[in-house]
Amino acid sequence: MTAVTTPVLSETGTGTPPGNVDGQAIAITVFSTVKRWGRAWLPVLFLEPKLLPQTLGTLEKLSFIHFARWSMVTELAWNGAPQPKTRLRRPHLYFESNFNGGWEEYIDAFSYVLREGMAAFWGSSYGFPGAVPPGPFKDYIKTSDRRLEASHFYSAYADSTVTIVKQALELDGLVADLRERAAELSPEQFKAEFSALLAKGQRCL
Amino acid sequence: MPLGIPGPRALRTQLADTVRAIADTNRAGQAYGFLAITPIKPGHAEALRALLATIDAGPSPFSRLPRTHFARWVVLTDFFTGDAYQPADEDHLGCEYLIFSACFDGDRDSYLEDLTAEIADELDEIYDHCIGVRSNDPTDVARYLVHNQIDCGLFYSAYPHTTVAEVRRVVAQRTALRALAVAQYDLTPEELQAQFVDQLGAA
Amino acid sequence: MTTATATTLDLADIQGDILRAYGNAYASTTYVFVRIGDATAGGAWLAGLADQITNAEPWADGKPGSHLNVALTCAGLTALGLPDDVIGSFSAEFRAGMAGRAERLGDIGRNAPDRWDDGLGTGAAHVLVTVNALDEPHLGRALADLRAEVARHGHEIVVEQAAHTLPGSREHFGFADGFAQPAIEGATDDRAAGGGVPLRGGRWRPFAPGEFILGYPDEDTTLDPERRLPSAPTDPLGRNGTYMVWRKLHQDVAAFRDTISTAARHFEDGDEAKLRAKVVGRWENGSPLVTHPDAPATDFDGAAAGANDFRYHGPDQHGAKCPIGAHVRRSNPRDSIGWEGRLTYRHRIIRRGMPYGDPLPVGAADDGEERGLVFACFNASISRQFEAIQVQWLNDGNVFGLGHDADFLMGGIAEGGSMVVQGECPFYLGPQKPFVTVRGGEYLFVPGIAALRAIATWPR
Repeated sequence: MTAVTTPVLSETGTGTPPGNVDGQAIAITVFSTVKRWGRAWLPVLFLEPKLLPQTLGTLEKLSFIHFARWSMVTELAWNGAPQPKTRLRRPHLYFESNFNGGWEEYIDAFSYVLREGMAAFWGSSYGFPGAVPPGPFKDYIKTSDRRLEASHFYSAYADSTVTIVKQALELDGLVADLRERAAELSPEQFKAEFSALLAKGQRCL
Repeated sequence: MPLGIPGPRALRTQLADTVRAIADTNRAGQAYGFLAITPIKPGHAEALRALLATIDAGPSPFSRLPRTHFARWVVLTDFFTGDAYQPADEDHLGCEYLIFSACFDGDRDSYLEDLTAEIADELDEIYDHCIGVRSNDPTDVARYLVHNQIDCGLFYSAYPHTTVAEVRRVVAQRTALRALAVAQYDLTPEELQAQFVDQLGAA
Repeated sequence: MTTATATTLDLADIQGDILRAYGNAYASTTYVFVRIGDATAGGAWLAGLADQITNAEPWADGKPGSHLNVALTCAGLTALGLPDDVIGSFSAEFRAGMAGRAERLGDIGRNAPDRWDDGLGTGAAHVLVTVNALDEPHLGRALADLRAEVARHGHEIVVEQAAHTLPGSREHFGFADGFAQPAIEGATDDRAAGGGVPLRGGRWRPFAPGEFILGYPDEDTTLDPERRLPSAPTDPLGRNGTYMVWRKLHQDVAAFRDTISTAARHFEDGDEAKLRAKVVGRWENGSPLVTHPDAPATDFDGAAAGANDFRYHGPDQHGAKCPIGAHVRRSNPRDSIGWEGRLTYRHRIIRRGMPYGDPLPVGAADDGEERGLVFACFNASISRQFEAIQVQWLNDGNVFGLGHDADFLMGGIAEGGSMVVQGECPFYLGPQKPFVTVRGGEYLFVPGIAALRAIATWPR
């Protein structure tokens, strides 16, 4: 009988450590070490994300990231003793995401539909296994994310997903329009206008 | 108004937001993404974790800062983790660090002012575990965070022009409209109109 | 590292109920959950059972009168004396068990494990023996033998759940059931159109077998230059087996009929049959709404070639034909959320269901009787497949742009939900009632036949 195999991380089920959850909202915090060429490449990518015309558009369409950020950490500020003076040999890429939805679905989406984008952001990091297949890529992200479980994570509207916010914003114009005219309309006219609003806004309700 | 097309006023706002965003990589529209990584005093990491766990168990202090969309505190033990993913000569940090990150409405300095005013007690306790904050001066935390700020390379927001208050208002409105849509069949036109005005009548 | 070699399925070692739906051919199924008394006696009993198990090879001499298949819970593996390191090689959700995952699954409130039937979700159910039979005499004989063997080895039956096909192969709400099974390479390639992975240009291909059978390449393997196999329990347990989900779902038929008939007074000419179809996504005879939006096909045959070959995004992106929130569109969304199905195809299950209890006559008031569906499914990863469907698609609607709407037919977790029936004049259907309630369930491991023998004879 062979020794027990280490279960592949993507099979552990819960995906997200509890500290990274507030209602529907989930935090990801990841550090990766950047190779030399990344020091030149990442600033170009950050300055001109349109180098990846599809990536930001795809993120927009996938509609599950509220806010995300990438930062290249090349040095840490000095605050006096006893802080050790640290000279970083390589840049470290900080990534954080504030998103909704299950971890599994999230990284699947990255792998399958943001393949080029993920390679652009993490291709210059040590250990990046490629975005596809999702298994090894999930392990790569999870390994760092688990170590960086948030001690406190806050979302101001923890039950609202990105899609709900965007739908609600779209409805706002329709509702405002009817609101302005509601008082002038007869009840029958109002009912007809209300039905028209519900028809126009049905994809957002 | 057709769906998704902003009116002239909204357009002006968006334009102004865009100009600000181009000037500052920490911005996306009117939103700001702040990140500071601060050194933890030797031997204090566990106490800090315990403190943050206590804070986490109660209502979040950020709920007192209505400009905050998202915020997090994370303890960073070291860049060196021993992972196969890392280069053999990975950097050691030499001490633990505290990551603070927040996405909020408006500009940085006024937010940090609000932060140090509204959650002074918690900040005092938390940053007392970090190296280099002047104790007995709560406003020093703002200076300290700025000193240790890490600029964004890229900051993304799904709705960069929407404030927390606006998110809350439109989401509540959506919920009310859906409820009225389901209830409409049992209402007379007069009742429907009255309920609409009552529940959705205020912007 | 384990890498893929041959992909031919070892049908002689795979239990027969995984790839073949007996329900179509067999009128009766009884699920017998057994508590093992003593590990050694448990092994002896399982060794005997292993000789009787039907495998997945084609039937040589026509349909046998009855069948046995065996699955084990994690508590069962422990009771049989398997060492911790072996048990640790099973997936985390299997080890937690269905009751242990209740909060995640939305099994709270009326669905909570503390309200489940005795013997389920408590660790008392160790082994599930599924008995399929052509008729009552065959069933009676098979069950009598099984009960005698259980008693002889000092074990105990903790749950015995009978299930029977209903007239016309309907489930209790009145719908024909069991279409759209996944097509598996090397087993059911012929079902690829509508059952496989959607490709560009309207084409489909069958799934890699490792999505449903352990020890074979899955969809990750096929994308992986190193051809790594998905994680599986320690050999030989990780070969030719799979994970099974078993759930007993009570159906409140009167509440469902009443909700539909009340709401239909405001729906397109009071058309109850159409409103029911909008909730389900298929007409009662099974014809899909997306291909038959106005009326059911008169002679729909779900097994016919092409009967299941449709997509949502192109023909019906906004749900005017089949609502975005219709039950079959949520539980098997195909390309409903776009991206040509790339965000859904890793979340498929082989689905089995068999009704229990007698039907409620049309027009009858609620009689308080127990009736519903025994839901069973097979998948290589319970978390990625069954749980993702349950949690992301049925309990919450966000992925589909439906906010927090739960699947209307399943009754939701909280009271008072609703559903949008999209169209030129959309219909807002509510309030949702607890149409379906979980009566209990277990996560199980279905070993290959050699693996079952290994478990039976494990050195103790």
